[in-house]
Amino acid sequence: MAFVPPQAGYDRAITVFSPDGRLFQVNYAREAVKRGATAVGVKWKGGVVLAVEKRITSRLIEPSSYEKIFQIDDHIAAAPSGIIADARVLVDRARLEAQIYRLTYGEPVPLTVLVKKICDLKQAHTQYGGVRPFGAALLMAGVNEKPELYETDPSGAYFEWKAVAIGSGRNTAMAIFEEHYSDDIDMEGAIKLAILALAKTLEEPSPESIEVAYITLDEKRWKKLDKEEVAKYLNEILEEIKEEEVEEREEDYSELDQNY
Amino acid sequence: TTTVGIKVKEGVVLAADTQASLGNMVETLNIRKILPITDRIAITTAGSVGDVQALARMLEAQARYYQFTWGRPMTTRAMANLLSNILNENKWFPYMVQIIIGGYVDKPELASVDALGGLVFEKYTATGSGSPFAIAIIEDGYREDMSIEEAKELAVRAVKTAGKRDVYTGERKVQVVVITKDGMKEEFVEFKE
Repeated sequence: MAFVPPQAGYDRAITVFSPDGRLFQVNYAREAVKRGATAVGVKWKGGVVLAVEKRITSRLIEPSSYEKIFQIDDHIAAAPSGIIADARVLVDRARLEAQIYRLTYGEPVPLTVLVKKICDLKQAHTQYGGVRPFGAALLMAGVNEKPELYETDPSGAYFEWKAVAIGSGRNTAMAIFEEHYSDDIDMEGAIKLAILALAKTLEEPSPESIEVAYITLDEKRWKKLDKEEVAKYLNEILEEIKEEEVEEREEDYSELDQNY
Repeated sequence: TTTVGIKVKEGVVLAADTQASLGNMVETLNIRKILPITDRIAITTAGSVGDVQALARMLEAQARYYQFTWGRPMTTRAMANLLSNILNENKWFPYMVQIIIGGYVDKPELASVDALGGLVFEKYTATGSGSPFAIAIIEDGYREDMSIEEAKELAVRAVKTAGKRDVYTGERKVQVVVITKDGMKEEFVEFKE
């Protein structure tokens, strides 16, 4: 009686392919991201901006306790979508790896290194037993020699983008980027484009529900926009939309998933 | 080596000579023995330079990690405790150091830490081969209501005096770091012959 045979290992976790070559748990993790609050990022020549949707579900929540753009190091920040509890674990690891790199080599961690470290961890959670994948995607952005913007997926895949969105508003926001992004966009243009894309995904866009942070090559330090600045940009954008009334182009960007 | 630390109401003053000795030889007369860890905390070096530098790197990484994780700066008291813990974990193969840690994060704080992690918070303290001379000067001149300027003068005088009587302490040039609520300032005071 005391010797219960250990469970056979094959169904303990997600390390098993389906007959047509899929890992269902990884796909389900992506679904968690698809239902998450929207996060967008836009690059310009001199920097990169991140903007996220804050779903404040009650007026009783202390807004100061609810920050969703996470600073990783002086020069790197991350914007999550999906299960925020999972994202926090990834953010903590990124912060640790950033300082370990600094301690080892005496210089700021390159964003590529950090992205690879985080994606190695995500990948490990699709292969080894006893764990589930992270139900979170992260936009990781920062400057070293140039501005960089990465998307990391629950599978551990990553891509570099000029402008990108993750979460429930991805299709809407990507359509706006496809239409309006240009390589010679400037700082104000990038910030406004990020807020525009995010605002389009919201039913009632308000400065309270949008968090924006940016970094420039010159300063190499992240800065948050305060509520008044967000309100100013948002008002300008809403005015412009009213004037020209951009035609809504609901395109399906799910073919992007083929990349994974 | 002689390094001293003095705490007053407005802040903390750290001072050190700039001579590195290699046995009985003067290796150089131009080194920094006070190392900034954050923009508001610094430590002084006495003992093995490599060991102090390694510890300084660790403290810097820990302070940055703390800042990004908790969204506020590590206090001097926290860092002194952390340093004490690191040193005590290595008590059977110790870092050969004697460190003064001083800073102004929320208030002025000063502590000395020995090789095994012994941690004492002080109003003033001195370390290194010249410390008996330096501490006597500070003991005589210290008042709790000193201004930062007065504390700086006292610290420089203590190091210079030690330099006159201790062979392993330089007397030409003193490094001074002042930390107040406005941040950290470094300067060098030179003496001609």
